[in-house]
Amino acid sequence: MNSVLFIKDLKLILKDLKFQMFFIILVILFILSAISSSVSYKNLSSDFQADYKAHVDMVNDGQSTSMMGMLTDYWVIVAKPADPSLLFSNYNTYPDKISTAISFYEPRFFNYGTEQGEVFSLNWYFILGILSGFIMLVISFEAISAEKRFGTLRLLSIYGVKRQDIMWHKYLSYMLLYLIIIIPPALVSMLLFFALTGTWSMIYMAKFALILLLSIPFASFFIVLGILISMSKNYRNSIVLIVFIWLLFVIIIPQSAYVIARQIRPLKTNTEYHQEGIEAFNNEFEKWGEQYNSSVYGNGSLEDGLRAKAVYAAGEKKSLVSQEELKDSKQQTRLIQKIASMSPFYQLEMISEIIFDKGYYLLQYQEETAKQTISQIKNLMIEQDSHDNTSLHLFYRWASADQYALNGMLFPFSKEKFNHPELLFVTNVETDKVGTKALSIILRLLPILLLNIITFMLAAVKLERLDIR
Amino acid sequence: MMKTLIIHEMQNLLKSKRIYWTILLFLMLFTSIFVVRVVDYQNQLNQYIADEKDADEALQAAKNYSQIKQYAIQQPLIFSIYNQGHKYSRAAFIQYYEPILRTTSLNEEANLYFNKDNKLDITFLVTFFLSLFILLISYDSINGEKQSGTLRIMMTYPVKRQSFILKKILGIFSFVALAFSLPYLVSLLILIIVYANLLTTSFFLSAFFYWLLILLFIFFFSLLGVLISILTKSPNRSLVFALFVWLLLSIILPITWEYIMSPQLFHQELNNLTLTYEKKLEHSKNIFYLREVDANKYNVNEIDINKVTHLNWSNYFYDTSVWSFDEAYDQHYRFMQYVIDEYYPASREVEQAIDGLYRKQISVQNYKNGVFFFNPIVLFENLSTKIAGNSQLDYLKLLHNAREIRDELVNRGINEGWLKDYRFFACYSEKENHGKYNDLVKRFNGDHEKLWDYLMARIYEPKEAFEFSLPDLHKYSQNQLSFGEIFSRIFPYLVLFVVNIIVLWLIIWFKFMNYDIR
Repeated sequence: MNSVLFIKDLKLILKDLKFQMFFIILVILFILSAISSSVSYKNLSSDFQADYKAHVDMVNDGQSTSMMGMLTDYWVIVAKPADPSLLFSNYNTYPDKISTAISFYEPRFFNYGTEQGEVFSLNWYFILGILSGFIMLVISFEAISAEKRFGTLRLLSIYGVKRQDIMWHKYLSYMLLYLIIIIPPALVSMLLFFALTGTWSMIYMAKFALILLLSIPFASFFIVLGILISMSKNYRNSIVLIVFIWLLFVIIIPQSAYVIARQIRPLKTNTEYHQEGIEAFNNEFEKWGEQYNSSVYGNGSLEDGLRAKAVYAAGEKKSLVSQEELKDSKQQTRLIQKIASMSPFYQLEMISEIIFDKGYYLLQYQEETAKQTISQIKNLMIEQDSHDNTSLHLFYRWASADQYALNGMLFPFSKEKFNHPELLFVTNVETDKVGTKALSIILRLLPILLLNIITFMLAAVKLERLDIR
Repeated sequence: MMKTLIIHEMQNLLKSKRIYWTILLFLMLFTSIFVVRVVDYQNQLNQYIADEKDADEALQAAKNYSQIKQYAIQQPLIFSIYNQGHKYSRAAFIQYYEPILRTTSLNEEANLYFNKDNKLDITFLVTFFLSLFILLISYDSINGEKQSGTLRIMMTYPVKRQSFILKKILGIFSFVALAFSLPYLVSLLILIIVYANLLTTSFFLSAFFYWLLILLFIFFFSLLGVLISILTKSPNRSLVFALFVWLLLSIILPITWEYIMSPQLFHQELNNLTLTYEKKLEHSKNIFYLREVDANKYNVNEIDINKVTHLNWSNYFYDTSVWSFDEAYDQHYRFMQYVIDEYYPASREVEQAIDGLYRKQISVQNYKNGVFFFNPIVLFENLSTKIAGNSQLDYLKLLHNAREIRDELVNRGINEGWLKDYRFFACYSEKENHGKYNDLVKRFNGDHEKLWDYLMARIYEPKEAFEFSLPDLHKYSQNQLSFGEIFSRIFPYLVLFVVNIIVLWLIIWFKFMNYDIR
């Protein structure tokens, strides 16, 4: 009996025009997103190759990777090569590359400012996170009301089918439907993407499968919501409210998060940070000047490195300001994410960041890696310098601070090539272990699961009390 | 008869719970977006005032002609509260003979980690929400009446089909138009009270044209809703169909353009233009650093270009006339002559190349309008930016304006003579002449360190001030759109819009005349 009900439900839905319509839309969108993602994959990977080539050229050139040269021109780059996760989302919201000077810790973010502010993009996140909710809502909003209208609901109750069973079968058949309309086109899209880019990877296939699986609760919420409103008398009117809920969760809250966060935790303007930095530098430098009787001005003696020490100390104060700027930005970003997370659907984006190692989640680890690499390079440089007889063995940070010494013909630091150029271009960034990742994913899934249970219970209670005549 | 029918229809709509919800939600959204935008605008305005102050202070601090560095700063448009348009930094930095290729930001709040502008403004509200709300109001306007039987009763009265359908459409249109216009007018009133001293005629023109466009937009979607209702049998089906059409027009078609069509169609052309620009830029730099130049013409062999540029532009030597040894003036004269003859034209070419790129981007946007001539959402989005005065075209205008100011400054320098002589970088009336540079070098036995110290010491020695007063400079005048300009910008697309409406109207007319009302 139960399986009969189930199959009947499914057949009915499959015959439905709106189902066919949306299925076609989904197929088209999935295919288009594979094409557009493959284009952006090619662009991004050629960008990455260009970066890498520039690095290799620098290393071969020898000028810049001499330890002297490195102090002035060289930056440690922590970048992520383009990977198939672009099919899910491109995340141009966050910088994709970090670059840090060797002398001071002031990371700079690259490809920052390319975002055009488009609300929607053409990739899986748009389909799974934004569109599928809407589609499931439209498909399911007359689940019960149609039965009621045709009188089949009454018939079922005569046959002694429990109302709970009806609810379950409706729900399950819609869930199955979701899988039917999502999985085949998603598979096609994935294969097309892999074929177009030539990046066949089992790991990414598994990751895509996982994200498809994890998108189920998000779709399920709208299915239950659809079933719930299909029981109200004026269900066509309630659709307005429901569409509004969809808009609120999927677009309004995530979109307005930035505006609200900016009001709650405003940043200083770039000019203010800049001026603060200069002031901090000058104050510190003047202090040194007073202490050492102005001998820090001019060029002083290179051997005692007094001027260089003063410049370095002042530079450190300046970099404190820029670190404060970073900290402020980070705090604001966290607040933005917190506000956006009020919508359970934004969690899908956060989950995908964890699964695919990208976005803000990755950025924090990249920063950590940059710091570690810098200190590693510093130690190696000091060690290598100590073997060079031509070097004055000045502590290299002072040397780097003394522009005069670097620009001039004096060699306070070794001119030999740095022995570990591979450390200057980092692509390997370690993120959390699988267990920790799984835990944080589950935590992020909790709100949507809770919402699912609550709405499901509400719908079940409502169906119990429904006047089926 | 007509009037009573429309009033009846509007009363009917008001009674419906669905409409009540819709209007309430719409008002809520309108108010919150408006507040967010006004707060944002106030931020921008404060930053603009700080920009102006900084730029003015920097200019007033100038002690010689070389230090005249201006900014052309665009005041944030009040109308950007309704339509953010194309986003760009407001300030163009004006330097002698340097190409002005893009604008820069002065006082701007920028998050280093998170870089996503939100698109929430009234235009987004209209294109995204209002279109949906109109469809949700109107999707069952005909078949709903048919289902409840009122359509049949209505037709038994002496009411013509024409006037019935007209009443339906006008009823929905005037209802939504009223629901939008009231908050719109109230918001305008608030702006007029709060920013009374900042308002210009172009703001009112923008507001008027914007309102006109929105009325057209509402009319189009009312027609679309009614058409959907005529074409489908049951209200349930028409609801699904309306949502489908909305999805297609507002999201799917625009994103397929953005991510599939536009990159495929114009990628090569835009790439070529970018390449041309980069080549020209490279060429101009080569000229500046004397890599591609006729050596004999300017006695280039004798110009130590690094010394000259260093001399003129390095921060250290802004305050000085210590370079009052003979060949410094001579070199400066020859260098300026050379810059004006060779580098200046090359940098103009760079400007033209990047303008070509910008123009192509603008024409791609216009092309999008042509492709989606049937999609009022695309048309409206594009047109409202043109009206508001913050389109890419206006960005180009800002750059042009800044370049004009620069050209005038350079011409003036040539005519009045200070560009090429000692006055350009003189600060103090240094009477002492050091003679020739090489003699100076000899004096210090080639010890550059000591020579440097000697020169630096001159900078910090107080000297009698060189008489310099800031000349009256041509200032940036804010971009004001005239009626004719706005009209000529939007005219072709306005025609497209109206043609769309007429076509839709004719289809409805034809369909409803043959409509089976049973």
